[in-house]
Amino acid sequence: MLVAESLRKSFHVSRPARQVLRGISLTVGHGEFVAVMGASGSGKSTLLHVLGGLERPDSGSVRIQGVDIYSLADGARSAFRRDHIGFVFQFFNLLPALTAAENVALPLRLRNESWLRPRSRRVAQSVIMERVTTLMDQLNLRGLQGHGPDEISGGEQQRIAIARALAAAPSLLLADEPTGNLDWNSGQEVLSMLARLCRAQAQTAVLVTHDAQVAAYADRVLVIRDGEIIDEIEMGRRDDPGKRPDHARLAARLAKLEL
Amino acid sequence: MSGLWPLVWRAVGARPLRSALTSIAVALGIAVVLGVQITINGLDTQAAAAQQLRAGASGLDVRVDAGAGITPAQVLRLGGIQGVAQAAPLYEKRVAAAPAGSGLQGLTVTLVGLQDGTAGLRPVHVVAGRLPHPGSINEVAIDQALSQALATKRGTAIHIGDRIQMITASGPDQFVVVGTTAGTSAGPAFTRSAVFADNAAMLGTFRLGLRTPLVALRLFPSFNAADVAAQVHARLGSQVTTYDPTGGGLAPLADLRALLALVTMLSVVIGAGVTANSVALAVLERRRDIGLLRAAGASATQVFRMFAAEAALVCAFAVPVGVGVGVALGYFLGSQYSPPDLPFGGVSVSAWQVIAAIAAGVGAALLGGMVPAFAAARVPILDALRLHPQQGRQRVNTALLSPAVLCLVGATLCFISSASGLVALGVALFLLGVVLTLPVLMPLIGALVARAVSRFSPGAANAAAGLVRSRNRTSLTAAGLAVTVATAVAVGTLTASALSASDAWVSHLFVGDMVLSSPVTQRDTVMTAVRHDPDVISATPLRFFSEPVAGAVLGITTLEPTVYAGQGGLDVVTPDRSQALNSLENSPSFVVPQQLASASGWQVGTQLPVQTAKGTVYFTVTGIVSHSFPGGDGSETLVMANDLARTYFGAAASGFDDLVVTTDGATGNVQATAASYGMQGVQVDSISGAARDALQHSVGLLVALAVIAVGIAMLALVNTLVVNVRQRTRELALLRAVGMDRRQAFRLVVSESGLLALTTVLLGVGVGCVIALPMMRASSTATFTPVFVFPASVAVALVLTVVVSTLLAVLGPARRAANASVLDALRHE
Repeated sequence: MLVAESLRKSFHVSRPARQVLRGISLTVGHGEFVAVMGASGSGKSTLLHVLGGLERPDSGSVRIQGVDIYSLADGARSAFRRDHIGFVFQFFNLLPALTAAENVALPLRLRNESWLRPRSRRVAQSVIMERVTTLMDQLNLRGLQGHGPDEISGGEQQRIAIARALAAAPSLLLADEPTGNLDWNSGQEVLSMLARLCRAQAQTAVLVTHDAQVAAYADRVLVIRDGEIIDEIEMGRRDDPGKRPDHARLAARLAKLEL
Repeated sequence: MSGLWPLVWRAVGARPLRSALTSIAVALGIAVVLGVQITINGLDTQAAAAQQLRAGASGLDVRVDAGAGITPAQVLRLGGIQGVAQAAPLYEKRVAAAPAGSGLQGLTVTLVGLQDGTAGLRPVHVVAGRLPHPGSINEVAIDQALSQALATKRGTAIHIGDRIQMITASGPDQFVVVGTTAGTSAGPAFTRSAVFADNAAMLGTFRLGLRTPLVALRLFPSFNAADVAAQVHARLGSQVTTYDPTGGGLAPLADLRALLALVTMLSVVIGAGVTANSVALAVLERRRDIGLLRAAGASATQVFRMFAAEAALVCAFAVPVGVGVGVALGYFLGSQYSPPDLPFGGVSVSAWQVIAAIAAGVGAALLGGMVPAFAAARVPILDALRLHPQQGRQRVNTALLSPAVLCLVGATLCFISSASGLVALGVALFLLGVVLTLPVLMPLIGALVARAVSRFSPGAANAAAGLVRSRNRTSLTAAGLAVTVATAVAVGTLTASALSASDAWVSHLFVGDMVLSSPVTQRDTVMTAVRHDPDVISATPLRFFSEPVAGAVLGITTLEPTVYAGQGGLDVVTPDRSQALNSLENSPSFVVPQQLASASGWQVGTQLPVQTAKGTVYFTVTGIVSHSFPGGDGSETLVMANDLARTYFGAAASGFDDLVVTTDGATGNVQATAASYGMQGVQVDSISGAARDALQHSVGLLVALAVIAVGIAMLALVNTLVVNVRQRTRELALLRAVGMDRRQAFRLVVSESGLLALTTVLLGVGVGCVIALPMMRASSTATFTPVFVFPASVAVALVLTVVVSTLLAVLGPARRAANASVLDALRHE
């Protein structure tokens, strides 16, 4: 599903240039929920941006469903991102001018209006609204369709962001500290819903976080330090979807890594 | 676009003030283009109609000014030219006229012949009564201004039915006055007040000494004047001049059209700048939206289209408003600038004019909006997604300095020339150069202004520091306003200089405080009577006539040289005044206007052959004056001594047309005395005022358009300042969190806005004065040499208007920003 090979990335904001990714390779299978965990400045957000086609690596490649996304021109990469990748950000990033439902429907509408998309493949408005309603129901957002982002709580905003990321049924969901801006209860609620949805829909997802409590919801945890993956921890949830996150086991493993 | 339309629509609605201001700016751009088109077209149509009215049925005038004019044989030959339907000679004669039985010597009047009720195929406007019947030999119609001048006794005018006597071939004959006519209604052949008689009388009792200065040709419809004129010259040679009376008239505001085009273009460009500014502000405010859209899969093209659509939507709102305001503006300006004696024909708008105005206004605005929209599409996604983008101290973009220096050097080179095209290019380059150097200039000037006003505004120094910190955005904000203020000041400078030159001209022409103007040449006895008026201290006569001088018929003004030399009259360029004027008394000589001297290559000492009553006499040029008296055709006249004029030109130079009077201040009595002789008394100050009014009336259109351009630029300034204040809410909250109180925060914001406005307008005033200098040199002619006069009233009005408007605009947002909850402001942007 997702194959990244030898990713290197440096930022030239100081001398010497700061190497953020030092030859990272990883593979994420179809329907797998992977967490990338590391301390601040370890390179995990940059890795997510590179995987999502937002930040071109200095070297290496990213293949999603067999397509090398950095071999695509900017326009084609935008289209690929729109059709195959969903993003969830730490700061929700809902468009303030749109209602909750319109925010969720945005990727489908963007897809519809693409010049490259044949009219016959465009999604009907009724289908879009049905998809929006379904997703909002699944994320427990019923009744908030007409509300603006400034009228709802942080947890609800982040669930709307997740719904938007999933609206176009992307091949890959990328989440950057999705609970970083939420209180503990809201964060747990958002994570459990995200994990449940991904499992139910066999959604491939990569999540980056510095929080072991969050990473524990994943099937597999990749630990990153100084731009390199230093460990890979199987959480054993893939074969047992009902299993609760084993925070203690993950914490013990991370302690060995002095993380 | 369907997916992004809600964003477009709501973005426009979310910032109603900015959208409205931008729409107004674009609408004003459309309105100015349309209004100026309507005005110019309306005035042109009106001028053409007036010209056609004056021309009557004449399609071509053939003129011979010297001697008896065109001979009867030549008239016959003209009638035989192919394409000529009728050749109508205009008969003219100077005769002595007086009320019947008065025993007076009479006044010399111009007698004009009528054929079928027209003079040289021109209609004669009858005020009362009628024109003489065709074939009548004892009826006349007189100009209404003559009715008083020919009065039997003071205060009694000639009425319809009265009789006047004129000298004919058989002696004094009496004629019945059957009507009165309006002054100069009959066109170029006779411009002074006339007596009209039928051609039967002209060719009968008045045949001796009859002149035919003009033959009007009525053409068949399929023939044009140029072709017929060529045939006229082929048959009669070069001694005749031909003139198309329906064309060749001066286009209204002709001298101002280039400047009008410049200011109109400026309005459109500034409108585009406001749109660019508005879209740029939208991009700035919604960077994160852009990042999010791009992350969600929106292509760069989609982002570009979204912002371009916002600009288009705002422009769409502007179209109906712009067209409506443009039509109203066209009507207002047209009625303001149409000649007072002609009714304005109303607004006539063609679809193409409207389309052109919309295309210019909206097209420029859309182009302006495309630039930031394009930039929005290229915003790096991750930069756009940052919660608080880094807003450090802005640096001067050194890449702009090289073209700026090139522009300024190019402008300087252009300014060396006095060719108007090069000077216009120089002005454009100079303004562009100034705009490009604004990131350097604005902080420097801002610091100077802050230091100057720091006594009254303690926060000015901090405000100046703010200008330095955001120098690039400050410059972008100030550019349009500085350019428009500079243009307004340059126009104001030209106006003030022209007014000063006009005042100097009038004050040198009349050595007294009142001018008594007569519709007809008056007898010397009238001058004596006026001089005996107890309120008249002195009176000096002026007489105007035309004679062949150096091969051309030129206007001549006679005066008393000693009076003009003694009282500082006429602005003598060379040699000195007393030498030039006193020499006029000694021998046949002229003082000549500078324009004519330059055009003819005449200098002091040049000998000019003149046809006089004593044969050809060589007159010497004894002096050159900057300006002299205007003649009947508007060109400046030669000046000579009145006693020598009578010696050489006899009756043609006798009497007076105007009397320049110095009174003891009781002008009412003098005016009454003048009125009793059919003369009108006008104070010299009034003449000067009328000249100023006429000049201001013409230039007022330019000033009005420049003010509109300043208004449009103000919209951009207000837009940006309001956004600046809004964006500083978080920074103000931080300052308040560390101890700044609300009042200080409010003052800081208002001081910055006020300082930006003041700095911009002062810069514009300075730049305007600089560009005015080459513009004045380019507009200088032999007859118009303006001297730089600082337009203080314009500058003060601009400074006050801009600064006060700016402060009023930011008061509300500044108060809201200063009063915002610190916690809320820190929580949100």
